[in-house]
Parts: sequence; structure tokens; C-alpha cells
Amino acid sequence: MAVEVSVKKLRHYWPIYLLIALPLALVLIFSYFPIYNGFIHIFYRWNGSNIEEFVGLQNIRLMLGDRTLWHSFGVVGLFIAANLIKMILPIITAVVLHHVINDRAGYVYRVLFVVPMVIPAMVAILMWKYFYEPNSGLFNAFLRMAGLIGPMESIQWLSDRWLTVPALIFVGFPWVGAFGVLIYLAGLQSISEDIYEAAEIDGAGAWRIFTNIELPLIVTQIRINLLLMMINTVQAWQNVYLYVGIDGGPDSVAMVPGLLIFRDAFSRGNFGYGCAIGFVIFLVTFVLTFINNKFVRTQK
Amino acid sequence: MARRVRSRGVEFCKHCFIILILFFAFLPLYLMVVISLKDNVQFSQNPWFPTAPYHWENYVFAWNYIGGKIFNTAFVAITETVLKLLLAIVGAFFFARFRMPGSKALFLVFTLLMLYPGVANMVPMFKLITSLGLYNNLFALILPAVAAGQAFNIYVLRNFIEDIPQDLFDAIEIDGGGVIAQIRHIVIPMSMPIIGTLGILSIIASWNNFVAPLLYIRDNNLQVLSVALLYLEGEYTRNWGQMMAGYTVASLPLVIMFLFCMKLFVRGLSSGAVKG
Repeated sequence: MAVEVSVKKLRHYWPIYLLIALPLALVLIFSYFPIYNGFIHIFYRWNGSNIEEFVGLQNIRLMLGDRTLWHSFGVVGLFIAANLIKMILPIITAVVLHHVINDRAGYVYRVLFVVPMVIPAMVAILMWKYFYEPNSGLFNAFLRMAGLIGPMESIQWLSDRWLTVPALIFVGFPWVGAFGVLIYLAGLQSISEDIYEAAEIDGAGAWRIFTNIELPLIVTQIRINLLLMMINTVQAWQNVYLYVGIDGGPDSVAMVPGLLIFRDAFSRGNFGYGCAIGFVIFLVTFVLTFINNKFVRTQK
Repeated sequence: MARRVRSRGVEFCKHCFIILILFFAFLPLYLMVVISLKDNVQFSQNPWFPTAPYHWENYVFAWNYIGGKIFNTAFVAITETVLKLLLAIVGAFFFARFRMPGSKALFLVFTLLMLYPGVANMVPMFKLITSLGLYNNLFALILPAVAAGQAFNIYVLRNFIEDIPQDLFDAIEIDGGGVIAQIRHIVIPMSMPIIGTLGILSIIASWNNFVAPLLYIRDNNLQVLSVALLYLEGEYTRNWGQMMAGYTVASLPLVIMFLFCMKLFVRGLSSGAVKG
């Protein structure tokens, strides 16, 4: 039970507000002030220092005509579709893991699934960059060994116009972040033994049990992961930058909005334009969250 | 979990499936360690399996290059996590235990921020950091992360603190204990499991942060691991063994931490984190 404090009693209770003072101050300075400042500068030509000139809607007009920006949102859409498919394998893995009868093996597997998660993200990215490396990378070495390409040949995974996006999508195979697997597993473990027995007596097969009992019980977790995945995909740009560079690969085929902010602001000095793209990304994530809350409501 | 006894064949298939998935998940790590002990000639002849002689000196190079960065990264991760959780616990206590005039509005001030994507703030945040004189200072990595973490952590901790029985607080109040005593002797001990989980998530996130150090840190001796690893590749003619030794050294601290609090990790991630 919380302590109710009315306005009248504030005279004695006001020091309670001090509890929230520090978090509030930090949030105002490091979150709300930049949000405000970024919004204002949508309407400015700004290079972060000496040039700061009000230009009205010019940045927005530029955005509407920016083919790369439109393309970048298309790429994000494609990445979201791909990530949707990538969500299947963790679900299957969790269900199989749940059905391992040997308790000891089950625990060992769970621990092992966490290990790749604590490897720094940068190390994982650099390892995959090595896999794709044309001359000594793993994939080309494997293809040469299997005789599928000549000993002197190499496939340019990350600098071929048609291969770049598929290569970026394939990164991280088999895509089982421990996070997803363990969360699904927690949902599955809440299913009681009785339900399984009842299903057995009714003669339900493994598939029926999966669709009618197991899937409904992890649907909440799947929805949360779905929303997080979409928001993260709209925001993510570091991976594209690290794999294919600041221009998003050949002809900017793999350009994403976040990378466009980074390039236009910090390498071309268009801070105002960067703020404008940032605001569009905010609108997109806001709409995604709204749709998710409206149509795929999670029940408590 | 011992359940329906199926045929051994089915059971065997399950294990095969999981081991296959684990094989692919561990392949990068395996190759990283194998290659870290090779020189370039051994690497181009056979990148798949360990071959003698083992070049341990790759690790000496890696440690000389990466070692200092581990301390910078650990300093940032630990300071950030401690500050973030301390403030969030006090803030969550405020929202969970008191209904002050304006409490609801204040709570909204925090939770609304969860809707704002960090990447949208990249440009104005850079401006703020440089104006505050924090450029090329490790606190440029710490303070924004502490602020950005408040919304989520307060939200999760508040739910947790609200469930603590009233009697405990009453007992402390009878003994004349104030707000600080309540936080120290009840809130923190009672919410230890969730604090552990949030702490681990915070440390991993901080360890992986790449954009902030790329933008705000200029001096090489102040740099953190994620950015420093990039330069392993750039500054020298590519010596794959040394690069992989660097990656291995950079991965070790978190793996060691994981081994020490494995229980917390596996249990915390599978239950606590998403319930809020």
C-alpha cells in the first residue's frame, strides 16, 4: 500500500520529492533537452557549431526528394520481414529444449545457449566479417575446398550489389539469441504436468500439443519479442556501418535510416537534416508501438 | 520435467537438433580461439583445426594492445550500472510507496521516454556532450546511459517494490527508521534477484556500446574495447592470429563473469526480466 499524501500534508512531506530529484534532473538534461533541441533544429541549417540558420521546411522538402532515405526505409522493411522468419528457429529450439527428458542435459544446454550471448557484440560482428572476407574468409575457403569455385576465385559477399543485403540478413545464423530461447522456455515451463496427461489421454499428437497448448502459452512472449525486434530493426545501423561502411555498401543498397543520420550529420556536417531524419524514425517507432498495442494486445 | 516416455529414437533426434544448433552458434567462437594461436602461414594453410606450433605470443600482443581498454570498459560498465540502479531503486521506491500530488504525471515523464528511440537523439546528444565539455571524457559514456536507463529500470523495479509486504515497512517505521533505512534494509535486500538481472543486462549493454565511444572518445588510451577492436584490423597489415587473440581477450571478462553468476543469469533471464 502506498502512502497517500494530499496537497494539505505537503508541508510535512515535501522532502519525499527529493527521492526523485536526481533521476528527474538526469532525464531532463540527457533525454528531454536533446529531444527538444533536436526537434527545433529540424527547421535549421546547422553544422553543430558556427552555422545555424532558420530555413523553415527546407529539410523536410529535402527528405521528400531524398531517394536514399526512401530506399533506406525499404531496406528496414526487408530486414523486418527477414527477422520475422528468423524468429521461428528460436521458438522451435525452445520447444525441443523443453521436451528433452534428461534434466541434467537440459540444464547444460540452457547454460550453453547463454554463452554466445555474453560474447561482445563487436567480436561477433568482426568474426562474421572475417567469414565474409573475400580472400581468406571462411565461406570462400569452404567453397574452394569443396571445389565449387576455383582456387583463385573469390565471391565478394559484402561488395557485390546483389549479395550485400542477403549476406547481411544471413549474419548470425542460426539466430538463436539466448534471450529469446530462455524467455520462451520460461513460458513453456509454466505448463503443468496435468495438461500434458489430459492431452495424452485424449490422444493428441505432438503437433496438436504444440499448436493447442504450447503455442498459446508463449504467445505473450512472442508478441513482446516481435515488438522489440521491430523497434530494434528500425533503429539499428551499427551493424550495416561495420560490415559495409558509411555509405551502406555498393550504391547504398543496404543503407538504413540510422546510418543516414550518422553519415549526413557527422561526415557531411548536415546536423539539421540528421535531426529531421531522427524525428521520422521516432514517428515510425511510435506508429509501430501504437499498432502493436492496438491490434496485438497482450493480456496480463 | 520427466514426462511422457517416448521412443529412444525421438529422444535422440531432439539431442541431435539441439547439438546442431549449438554447433553453429559456437562455430565463430571455436574458430576465434583456433586461429588466435596461428601465424598467417598456418592460417592460410589450415584455418579449421589447431596446428603446432602454437603462437602464444599473439596473446602477448593482444594483451598489450587491449589490456588497458579492458579497464576503461570495466570502469564505464560498473560505474554506469551502479549509478543507474541506485537512482532507479530510489526513484522506483518513490513511485511504489508514495502517492504524492503529481506522482502520476512524474511517472509519465519517465515511462514516455521508453517510446523515444535513442538513434533519433544521436545528433542533439552529440551537441549536448560537446557543450557540457564532456567530449573525450569517459563520463560522456556513463551519464547519458544512466539517464536513458531510468525509464525501463524504474518501471520494472516499481512493480517489484509494490509487492513487498507493508508489514516490513511498518516494522522499520516503529523502530524509527526513515526512508533511507527502508531502502537499505528492506527494498534492496528484497529486490536483489531483479537487481541482479537488471545489473547483468546493464553491464552487457554497456560492454557492447559502440556508437557513444565512437562519437565521444578521441584519445586512444581512453578508448573502450568495442571501438579499440576495430583498430586491431586497421593499423597493421592483417595478422589474423593477433586479431583473433585480441577478440578472445576482449571476450574473456564477460565469459568469466558469466561463469561466476551462471545461476543468476540463467534463472534471471528466463523469469524476471520480462515479467514487468
